[in-house]
Amino acid sequence: MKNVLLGVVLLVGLGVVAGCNKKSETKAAGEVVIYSSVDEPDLTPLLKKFEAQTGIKVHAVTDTEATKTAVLVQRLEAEKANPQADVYWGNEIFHTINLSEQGFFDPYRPKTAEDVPARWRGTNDLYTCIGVRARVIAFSTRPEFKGVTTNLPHLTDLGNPALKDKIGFCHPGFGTASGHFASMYVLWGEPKYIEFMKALRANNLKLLGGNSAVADQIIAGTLAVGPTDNDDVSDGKEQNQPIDGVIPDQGADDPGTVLIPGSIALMHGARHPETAKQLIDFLASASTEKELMDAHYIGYSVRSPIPVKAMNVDYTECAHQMRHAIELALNILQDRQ
Amino acid sequence: MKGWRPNVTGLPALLIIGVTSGLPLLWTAVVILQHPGSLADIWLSSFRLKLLASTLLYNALVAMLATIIGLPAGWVMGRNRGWMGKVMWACALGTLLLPFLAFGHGWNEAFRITRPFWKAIGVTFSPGGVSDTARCIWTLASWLWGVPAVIIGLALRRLDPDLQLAGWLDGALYRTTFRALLGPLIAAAAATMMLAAQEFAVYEPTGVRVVATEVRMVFATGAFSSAPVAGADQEQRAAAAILTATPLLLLTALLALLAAKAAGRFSMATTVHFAEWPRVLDAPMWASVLAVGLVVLTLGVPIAALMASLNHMDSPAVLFSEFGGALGGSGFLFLVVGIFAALLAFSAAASWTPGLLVASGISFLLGGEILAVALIRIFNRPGFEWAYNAWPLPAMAYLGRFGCIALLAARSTWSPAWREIRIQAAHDGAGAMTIARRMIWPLAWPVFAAAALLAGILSLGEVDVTATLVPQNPSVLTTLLLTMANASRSNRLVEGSLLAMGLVFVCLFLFLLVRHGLRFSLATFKALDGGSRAN
Repeated sequence: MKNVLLGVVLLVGLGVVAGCNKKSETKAAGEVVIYSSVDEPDLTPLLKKFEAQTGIKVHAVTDTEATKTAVLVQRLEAEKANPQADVYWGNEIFHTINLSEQGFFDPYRPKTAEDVPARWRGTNDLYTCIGVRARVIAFSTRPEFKGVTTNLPHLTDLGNPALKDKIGFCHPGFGTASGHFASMYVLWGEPKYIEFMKALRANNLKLLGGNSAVADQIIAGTLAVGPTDNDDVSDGKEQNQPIDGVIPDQGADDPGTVLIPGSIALMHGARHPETAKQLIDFLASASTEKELMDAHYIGYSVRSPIPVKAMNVDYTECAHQMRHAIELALNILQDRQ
Repeated sequence: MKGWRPNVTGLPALLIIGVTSGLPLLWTAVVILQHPGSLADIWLSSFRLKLLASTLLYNALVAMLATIIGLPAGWVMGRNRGWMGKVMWACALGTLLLPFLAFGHGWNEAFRITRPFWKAIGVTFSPGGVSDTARCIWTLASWLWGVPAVIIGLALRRLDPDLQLAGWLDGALYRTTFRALLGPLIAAAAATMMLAAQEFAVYEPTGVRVVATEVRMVFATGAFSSAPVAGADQEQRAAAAILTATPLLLLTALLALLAAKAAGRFSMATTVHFAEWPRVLDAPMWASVLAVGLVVLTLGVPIAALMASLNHMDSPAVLFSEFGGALGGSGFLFLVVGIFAALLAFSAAASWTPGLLVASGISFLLGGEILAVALIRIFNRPGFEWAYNAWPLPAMAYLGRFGCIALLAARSTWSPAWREIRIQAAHDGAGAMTIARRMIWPLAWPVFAAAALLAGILSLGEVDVTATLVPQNPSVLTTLLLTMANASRSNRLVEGSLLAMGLVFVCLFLFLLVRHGLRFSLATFKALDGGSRAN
């Protein structure tokens, strides 16, 4: 027993040294706290650059690949009475709209974003969009799937019986897929939406745990196609994985694809409002957007015409209809009725 | 409650469980009471009934498989007096020590590398299909086999050798031993099943449906719940999510209770034995060979697969800059949780407070995300920054999840087998503290240490709490691995996983070395001390 106690004392000593190695950092002027669901490898270099330029220390709380946005939003909601974040930077817009309507943000128009069109700004400047990603149909470039993946101009082509058992889609309850399902519902209306869900069900669509999981399964060769975000395809292609993507519905009579803008906002009750505004100014700038495009995290800028035909939907309406769209989809896709 | 008197030795346990489990449970109770409409969510639709059945089936299969894998190892751990037994103890604990994210990724890589073989025999691992579900079950079982192995090993060490010897003389050694171990086997399977129920992250990426996915969806979106479509706030969604999870929680609690009863009923040991066993009761060679084979399969294959899938290894300086802080932070939280769990076990073994085990069991079953949100709601207020923005909050959350393991260890010292020791000491005039200090703690500390270790280990790989709290001061490895859980960034994940595994084995090796050194030093000191006294 004595030697165990001694061992514990030694371990505690070592642990305290290791755990307290980081200086305890108190929040004072010259600091800012950002909550972000932007991919950590793309976020960190930007924050380091901001720190180097301004000397302001940035504390970043990021979301994980597996829990994109949803968990970060839960945390923001839990902290509403005593906000810890100064800045929120989401990788999509639908949750941002819901949060803005619930009074989470203060109005702020970034000085560097005067050139951002009104379309990409929230009501009363409650948020500003940064960069746009597009929903694409990812497909396998493996030879065994060539016959079924060569002709996918429309999202509705996923209803093609030749693709049975070969399609994946992120669970509509999570990630940007929620917004994608809501957009389809708002654009098409309920009858066509239900019809498409039935076609997907007939094709035995696999609902996966995230957009990256869709790309992972296509890379692994267990699935042939699946809608996901353009950056998931870009990441795979950069790693020479057997995956590619096509932007659906780009024909003259087609409705276009869903565009997913990132969004940044100043938290209501921010403890460091001035440094928060400086960080927002930096992140909403054209140069930051360019860096994100160079890193293939975003596909397009909010400042210039987007060379992709976009689905003409009201994001606010999509955010409001999200839960209904999820329930309708899962009723069919999971045989809940 | 009858006959219970508050005792100062039980105060640490009361405080730890009160803060880490009691307060969050109080918050959830208030939330449910404020939204009585959410009681409708407890009703099981046919879909949710199927979901519940499949979740229970998957976890039962994990428990069964893990117990089968752990049985030969446990036998060797309990009835081998040589180095093989020690190696098995190290492997069982070492496997459990590995962060599940890293271990699971190792198996993912193993299945990816061997895909041509599986394809050739017609196994496709189609997401959510039978083979994919079997892959998830195997991955979990091959990680959790250490739990039954440790329980069986400890049970054999505590088993009356005379009982086994009588069985051997009657030519029924295996039957007698099996009957004697039936209780611990059931308890081991139940413990594994409960742990498996918490590790749903293995199922979710490929779309294998489990109750936890449904609960997460309800909490995130309010879909398929009583929460109003417009303006449902987080508390309403939390109430709905908790009640959606309630049938599984009740069934799991019921199964745990039945398992505990069965363990008590089938256990043939009414007293605790610590005697050496005769050589005829040693584990046979074939059991050792089988145990080694299974360990190589469950531990060696994922590690080898990770190494094989590594494209390149960065320099130690790069690795340290990327992972060093998080590794230190994980180690620190592991120690904090382990120490508080040990304190909990020692305190509860000295003075048992009714209701603590139930409270900690419910907070364990509640799930990490809701527990973390409850703690945020409770501690995110002025004056609590020292706890909220530093290590106390994640430590509290991990203890809220895994404190019940330490309490279960303490509870085992209040069983009939131990009661005799307490009664005898009390007859001799010893008070509660003296009984604990002189009798219970010296005998039961290995069990408490194992429970504390397990609580710390599970904290290392916990996903739900970690993903919600995203500890910053200190940062932890799980957060880092979660951000890398993407095929296109797999090299980083493999590097991190191998580093985490390497660190675990280095720590384990150092621990064994220190333990051996201390034993040697103490023995030498005693010998010298005895010699000088004799002179």
